This record gives sequence, C-alpha cells and structure tokens, in this order.
Amino acid sequence: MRTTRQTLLLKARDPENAQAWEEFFNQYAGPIQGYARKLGLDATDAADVLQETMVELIRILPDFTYDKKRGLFRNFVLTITHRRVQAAWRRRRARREVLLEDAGPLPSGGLEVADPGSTPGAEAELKWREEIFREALRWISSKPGLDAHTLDIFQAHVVHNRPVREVAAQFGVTPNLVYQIKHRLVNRLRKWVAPLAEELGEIE
Amino acid sequence: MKSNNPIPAPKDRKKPGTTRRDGHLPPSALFRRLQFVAKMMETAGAGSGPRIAWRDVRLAVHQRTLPADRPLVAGRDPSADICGENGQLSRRHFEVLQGPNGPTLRDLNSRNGTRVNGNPVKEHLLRDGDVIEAGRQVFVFLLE
Repeated sequence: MRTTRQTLLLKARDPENAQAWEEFFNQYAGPIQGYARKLGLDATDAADVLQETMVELIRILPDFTYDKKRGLFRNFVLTITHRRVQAAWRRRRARREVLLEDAGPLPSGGLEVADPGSTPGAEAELKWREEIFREALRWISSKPGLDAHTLDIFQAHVVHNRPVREVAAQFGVTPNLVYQIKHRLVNRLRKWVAPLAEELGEIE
Repeated sequence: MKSNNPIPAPKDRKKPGTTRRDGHLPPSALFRRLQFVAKMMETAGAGSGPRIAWRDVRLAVHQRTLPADRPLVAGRDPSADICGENGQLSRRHFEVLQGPNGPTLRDLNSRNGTRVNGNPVKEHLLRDGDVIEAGRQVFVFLLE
C-alpha cells in the first residue's frame, strides 16, 4: 500500500501537510547548501542556491506526479539543485568578468575556474550522498543521550574508515564497544536516511 | 478555496537571521521567509516572466511584470508602476530593471532605504523568491 511507503517528498506536496513540508525543508537545507559549497560556491551563493531551489520546489511540488518508471523521482532534488548551482556559477563568472574588466588585462591562464557540467554525473551524485550523510550525522549528534566520545568513536571507525582495533586502542575502549556503537548509530542513521533513500530509489 | 501550496501562511514576519559560522543560512530564518513567499505565490497565481508581487492594505495581492524596455518603479508617486500609500515609502523608492546579469533592484536614494531579505541594499541582483522591504511595504520578487 502506498501510504506506508510514501516518501517525504510526496507527503510534502500535500497542501494540508505543513509539518511534512517543514520536515522536508529541514532535511534538505543542509545537503543543498553543502552540495553547492562542494561545487565551489561561497556561503552567500550557496544560500542563494538554497532559496532558489526551495522556491522552485514550492512551485513544482503541488503539481508533481510520481512516475518511477520514468525515473523522475530519482535525484529529483539533486537535479534542481544542480541547475541552480550552474546558474550561480554563471552569475559568478559574470561578476568576475566585470571585476576583471576594471582590473585590466588578464594574465594568461591561471584564473579560470571549473564550471559544473550541465547534468549531475556520478561524481555529483556521490557529493550529494555525502551531504545527505553529513546532515544525518548532524541530526543524530544533536539528539540527547549521545555524548561526544561516542560520536568521535563512530566517526573514527565509520566515517574515516579506520580499523576497529586501532580506534579501540586510541579511545581506550574494547573492540566490542566500537562494534556496539557502530551498530547503534547506524540504526539511528537509517531512521533519518530512510525517507531520502526511498527517493533515491534504494528502498522498495 | 483549498490551498494549493504546501506552506501555510506565516504567523509572524520576523527578520531573517544571520549566517551561521559554517556559512549556512539558519534554516528556520529562510523557512519563515519562504512561508511568506509561498503565500504570495499561492495568492498571486501563475505569472509570466520576472515580476513583483505585493499585498495592499486590504491584503489583496497584486503583481506587476517587469517591462523589457524600461525599469519598473515603486514609490508614492502616482506615476510609479507600483504606487503605495505607505508614508515611509519615498515618492520614487526603488526600481527593478533588466540588468546585464539579470533583474536588478536599485534603491533610488530613498529616505528610509530598501532591504532585500533583511539586508539594506543600494543595488542588488534579484533572486527568485527575494523579499523586498521598502518602508512598511513588503514585496516578493518572482522569476517565473
């Protein structure tokens, strides 16, 4: 039945479900800005990308129809974000050209900066997923009952991919405790990521 | 009429917050602003091209599309495209024109200044969903 599997994006398009929209906004705000920063934008431009992406979503969501066969849902938000990042890049280049016109002749080479491609490729998707994961980590670290020590152990082992024995030795705990922490926090992360993972087509 | 927008009307209109230390805008500040923008979008309906939407004292929503060949002027002057009665609005308060990089707002040396998303501006390249404050009047810039 669709109701139990309804993604956050679908819930957010329901005009009566203001709470779902707020939840949707809070989950995506960090990843959108983080993704824009990863593609080289500064904080101001990244904030613009967030605003423009959300305004476009406000415009699109009420009429958005779900068609998984056409792959519309997959990376839906990423595609919009990526397009907005490109627009920000174009504005940035235009600003830079104006500044450089004032500054005089260009030195050969050197100042050109890479523009993200027209569509989000595999590398862009990876960056997007990293931002989703980072936001999930921020979420679990903000919850009460999780001390900094536990989070450090989790980050050392899971995020930085360091061996269990090495992490256990560094933090003065048993390897078993490192496994327990990993298990506990991965379960918490799953709860946060699940709605987003559905949108990415990873959960049926 | 049933609302067609996922964001409810704002309960209050607070000033947008400042940027966090990590460079991210506080989501709550932007969310509040977007609540207002969404309400205006919902009431104004679909438009064509860049435009300014605002509410009058009776809360009726109006919008003016940015002309291609001249600036769109807002102020108390009867000849202004957007003419407001608000006493804190200068006769010619600000204008929006098609600049080389996109729609641009210029403050016309108004007495009380113009703010975009809470920040005082003299000239500003407008983004979709920007909130413009002139005197006590609030406008929203919409790109589509």
